[in-house]
Amino acid sequence: MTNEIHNYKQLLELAVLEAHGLLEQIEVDLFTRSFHDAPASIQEEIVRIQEKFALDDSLLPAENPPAELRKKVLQSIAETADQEAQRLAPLALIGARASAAQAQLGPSRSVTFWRTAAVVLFGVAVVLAVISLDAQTKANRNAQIALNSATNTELADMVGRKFSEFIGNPYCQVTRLERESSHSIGYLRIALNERFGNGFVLGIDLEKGEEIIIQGTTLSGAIIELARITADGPILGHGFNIDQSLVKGMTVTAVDAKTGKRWV
Amino acid sequence: MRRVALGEEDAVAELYDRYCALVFKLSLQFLSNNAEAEDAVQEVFVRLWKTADRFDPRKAKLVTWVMLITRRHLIDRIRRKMVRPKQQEFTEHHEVSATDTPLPSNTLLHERNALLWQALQALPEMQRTVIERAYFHGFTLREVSKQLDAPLGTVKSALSRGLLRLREHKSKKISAQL
Repeated sequence: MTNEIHNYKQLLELAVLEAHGLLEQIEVDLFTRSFHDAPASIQEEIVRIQEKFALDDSLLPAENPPAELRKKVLQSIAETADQEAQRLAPLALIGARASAAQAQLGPSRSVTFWRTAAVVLFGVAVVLAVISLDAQTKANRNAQIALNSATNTELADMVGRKFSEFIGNPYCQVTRLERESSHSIGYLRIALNERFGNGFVLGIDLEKGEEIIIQGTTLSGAIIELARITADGPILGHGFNIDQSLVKGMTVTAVDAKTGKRWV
Repeated sequence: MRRVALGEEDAVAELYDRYCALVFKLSLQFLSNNAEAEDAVQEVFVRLWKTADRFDPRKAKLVTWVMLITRRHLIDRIRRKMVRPKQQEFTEHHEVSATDTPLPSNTLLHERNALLWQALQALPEMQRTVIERAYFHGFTLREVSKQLDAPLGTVKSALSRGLLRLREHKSKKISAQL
């Protein structure tokens, strides 16, 4: 006997018991699952067998139901339907009643007042938010200007008043350079005045004794030494002159005079 | 059944007209008098109306569903109302005896079901006993298994074979397959 035959036999056995209402719910569920998993031919066979059982009245009493039973049954179903409807009605009407009542009365004065108040308050809140944001932006900008101004004044005190001529000067071309291969901090800002042919180099966080050559490459490719600076402290400022005609399009680089390390 | 589930009165009436005879006859087979059978028929059709949305036409024919609901209802009714023999009465007798026939002794019921009783008497003892206890006394298969001290699988097989043999004269083919 193969498993398949055994399962098939079991399925038919369960089909007979199920048709007679003799299976417990858990077994009915298992049978239903097996039924759906079974091949279509077996499903058809089960349906046929169960139908045969259902239709077989050979062992049933021969009496027929009295005619008045029909009315009783239909009345009984109608009453049950009414009871069900009454039982479910309160649930169904909870939302419907509230909304119907609201529709009949219309919005009350207090509701209108509060709705208006809410809209006005919302508008006020939006305006205040916009004003607050604008004020914050202005304050930030002013603080930044003040900070820059103070920094510039302090730097000018340290590196000389000439530094101020190059800060914010629209004729100046400014280049920022950092060490090419070093973990050391520090940078150079070189400003070239295209109109008057002079320049200024500002060094920040330089190493003491460090000697740096500032070079310019003209459009024709010629390399010119613009300035040579030696740091006597971390901050250094140095002005220099240059032929005005060479400034336009000039590329600025720097190189450490002792080690040859580049600033780019 | 879809129309019944939707509460269409015509559909309910149609369902009654088609199956009332079968439902009534089956109720008479289980219950001791016509009044009880008529009550049962009413309850069955209310139950059919309430459970109409659960009917799956891919799994069973409508008549199968109707009779299944009827049988379940009748078994439930028996379980609720019938005074069942005490558990001890069965567990004391592990072996099934020929005198162990706990069917109701109502004369009318016997007369009505004369054919059924005859067919039952022709069954092997084990099959007859499990049918009587599970089908007519409303014991669950587990209870019958315990009463008879027999494995649940054996009880199921005996019951299934017994039910098939009761209808052997009409369905020899089905019987042969099992």
